Amino acid sequence: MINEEGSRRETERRAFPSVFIRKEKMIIRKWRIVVIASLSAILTAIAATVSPVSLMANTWPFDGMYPDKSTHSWCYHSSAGSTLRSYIPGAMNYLYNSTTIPGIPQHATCDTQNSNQDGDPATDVVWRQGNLNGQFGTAPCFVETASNSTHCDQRQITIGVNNIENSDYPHQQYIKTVCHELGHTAGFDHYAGFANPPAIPPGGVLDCMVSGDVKYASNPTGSWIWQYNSHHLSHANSWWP
Amino acid sequence: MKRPIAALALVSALALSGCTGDETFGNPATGQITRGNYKALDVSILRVAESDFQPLSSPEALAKVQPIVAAGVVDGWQEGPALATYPNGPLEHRVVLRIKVTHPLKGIDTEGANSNSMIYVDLFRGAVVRDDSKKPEEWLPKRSLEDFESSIPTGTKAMVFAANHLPYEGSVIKPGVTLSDEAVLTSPPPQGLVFEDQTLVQQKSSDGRALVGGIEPLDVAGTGSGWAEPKNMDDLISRLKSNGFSD
Repeated sequence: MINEEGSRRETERRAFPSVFIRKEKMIIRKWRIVVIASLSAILTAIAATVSPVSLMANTWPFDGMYPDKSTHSWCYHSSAGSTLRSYIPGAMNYLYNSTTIPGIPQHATCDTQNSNQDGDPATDVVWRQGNLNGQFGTAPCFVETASNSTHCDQRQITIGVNNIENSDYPHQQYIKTVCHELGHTAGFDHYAGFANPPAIPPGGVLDCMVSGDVKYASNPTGSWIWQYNSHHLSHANSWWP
Repeated sequence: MKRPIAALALVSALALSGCTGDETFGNPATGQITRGNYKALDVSILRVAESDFQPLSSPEALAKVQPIVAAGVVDGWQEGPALATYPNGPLEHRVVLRIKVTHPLKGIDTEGANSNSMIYVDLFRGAVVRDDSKKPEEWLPKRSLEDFESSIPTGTKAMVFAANHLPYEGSVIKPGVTLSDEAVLTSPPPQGLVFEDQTLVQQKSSDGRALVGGIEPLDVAGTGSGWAEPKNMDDLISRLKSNGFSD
């Protein structure tokens, strides 16, 4: 049978070469679709089975509130102490250097005035410190844009200094949480990488958007504590082209 | 011919990268579903901060570190204070959830003149909406008290794990509804509010789960955590009592 089929195809190829080539291409394409569809189904099933938690943890922006597309300006709230302040510029510079965000100007005083009022946009990020119950930090939207309920004009980050100072690795926790909350202001979602079972990081690489205490990482002092993985960076870079 | 291939590849990539999916544990966190006479709780109104925190692995682990634990029913919502943030800045608006205690489990004084039959839970009310016709301190919160009542109505079964509220760090510009001297104002951690959703009770789903995390989903500690085990508020109360929490 195989020889008969091969002979028939050889005859066809010689008699009608263009028709034969078109048919061959169609067969190849059909098989390609079948293979890709099968792979797709398998990979989707693996993703859903291996880590259902990771599937919920990666919308952008994480709370549906988009940052503005201009610079990502910031200021210190009067509550921010010198220890906390020592961690902020490094995080801001890292965000700027690793993304297409057009600038990270520091505002000497926090404000909500737009460009037409004082020449520059409202401060995007206000850094505060406080005593939080069981939290290292929060970054809620404080001011919603009037003309668009899905845009946030200003987020105020509160760093729970009390909990960080009492953690096992306060220096690394400061770095991770400052990076983490700043990531939220850029719309990045967090994930429960230290949960039971742990969520797989979006993009597969542990970064500062993991929630929780750095002591639960296999390497609490690793460079991941101040880095965003490529998956998160791609979210920022598609928003700030 | 290339489009379907690209689409299939994209579906795979999105699935693997985690750009899809929804909350687990079967708890509707957003959107409200009407079932019979009940409307599903919409806890998204409380999920406005997404804190960086280390989730505790079970209700009893949380009860161990929080000084106040009680179950009860939502008694309503009231204005909290509005706090100064920075000069000429918007105010930080707070909202207070009242929970009428039915099951004191830890740190509740149930007798005498200072009995705590009501717990007051201080919460962030969410963003204000920019209004350039007014000064920033006059900008109003997007969410009204009616929104909170509609999302998590009076009568909803609730459990709170909390600490006594520390003095506000910003100066109080508007006091909100004044609390009595005996009132216990508390601050919950992210896992510190749990509600029972009557639509899930009515639904009688196969897993029977009717509990919903308030500020954070219950599965924030993982689907294998102790939070996955109690199916309703009675289960949760019993679990804590069996772990020695009972005033």
